[in-house]
Amino acid sequence: MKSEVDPELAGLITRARTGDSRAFDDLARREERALYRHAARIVGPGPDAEDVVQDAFLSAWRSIRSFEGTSFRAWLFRIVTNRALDRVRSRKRRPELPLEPADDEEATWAEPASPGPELADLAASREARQAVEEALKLVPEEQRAALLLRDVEGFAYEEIALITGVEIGTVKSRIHRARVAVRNTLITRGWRGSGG
Amino acid sequence: MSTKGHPRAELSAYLDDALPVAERSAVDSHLKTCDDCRARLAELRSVTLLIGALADPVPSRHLVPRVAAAPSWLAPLRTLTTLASGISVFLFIASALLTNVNQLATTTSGQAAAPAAARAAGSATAPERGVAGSSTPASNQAQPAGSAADSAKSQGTAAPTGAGFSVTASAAPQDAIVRADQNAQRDNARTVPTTLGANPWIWLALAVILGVIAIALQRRLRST
Repeated sequence: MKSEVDPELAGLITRARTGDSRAFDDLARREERALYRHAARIVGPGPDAEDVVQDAFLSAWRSIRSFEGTSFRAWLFRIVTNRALDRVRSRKRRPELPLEPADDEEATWAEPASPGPELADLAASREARQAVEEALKLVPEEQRAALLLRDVEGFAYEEIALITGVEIGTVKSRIHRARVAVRNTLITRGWRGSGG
Repeated sequence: MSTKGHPRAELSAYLDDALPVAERSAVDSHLKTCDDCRARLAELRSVTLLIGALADPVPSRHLVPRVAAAPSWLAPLRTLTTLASGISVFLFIASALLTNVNQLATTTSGQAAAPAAARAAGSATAPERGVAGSSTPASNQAQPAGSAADSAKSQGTAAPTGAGFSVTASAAPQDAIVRADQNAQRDNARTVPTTLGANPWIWLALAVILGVIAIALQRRLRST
């Protein structure tokens, strides 16, 4: 993990673990924005996501002595991800069945309905970013969390497995399904795949 | 690893370089010959780039709690001040009650002292009147007066025997009044220290001050 290579960061973690609240404050500030964007894309931006992050920081501070992992950043993301997913679940009136599709089950691949701009040309477009945000909202939370941890935060599959508490095969499946779901949503809205 | 010969479920992991070497080699080989899988891989890569390019949502407030500014002794101090405030309230109530009770007792004992003295004086003057009436005709019929003096003595007066009846008898009630007054004063003197240990309002003021400090500490702790 790249963060633990940094000796300054390692020093801060050591100090925070011995009860140095200023060191913890420094560590928390480094990840504040990243944790918020992650929580905001799971529970939605606003006070709920802010509460999730703030509660996660308090929880992390209270239990920092128990931190023995190799990645402090992954540890923080694990707390935030769990809290965000809990909040989404408690918000739903009907409990959603945690159906985890089999790994070998292929995700549906939508065919473009009409010609449109290619996906590869959209990255800089503000309109495209908006479309992707909306497409992400349609992805089931667990899959979305895994995809965000990979594509936005840059965690390795092994770290995502630790953060979300599932097997690495499940991580692989969730990330792939989430990507396909986003791609399909964009395709059904008129975007054109590179092959189509 | 594949569906109908195509490694479609592995394409994301391939893209992320998260496949074991053997599986990666197999996907590499397949991609060389499969346009459809190459196209899918390209679209998945585009999705990844799109997601990575999303603008960050920004929180409306600082989310890092002020754990740095909260000293570890804050919570125990809050508990102590809360307890101290409660004890002060108790002391205020107890002190106020004691004051009231003692004031009541002082009033009652003052009122009770007068009749006691009066009773003592009365019991002593009655024989005097008896003596005065009987001593004039015959001095040897002084037995009633003597018994009156004895009765006065039995009520705590020190009447010397052999002295003049009228003098002895009249000294007894005065002594009784003085002693009753002294007893009342002594009773008052005993109760005064318990009420003057501290002014009840001091305890109340202390309770309020400690309560305000406890509330301030609690708010400080909550804000962290």
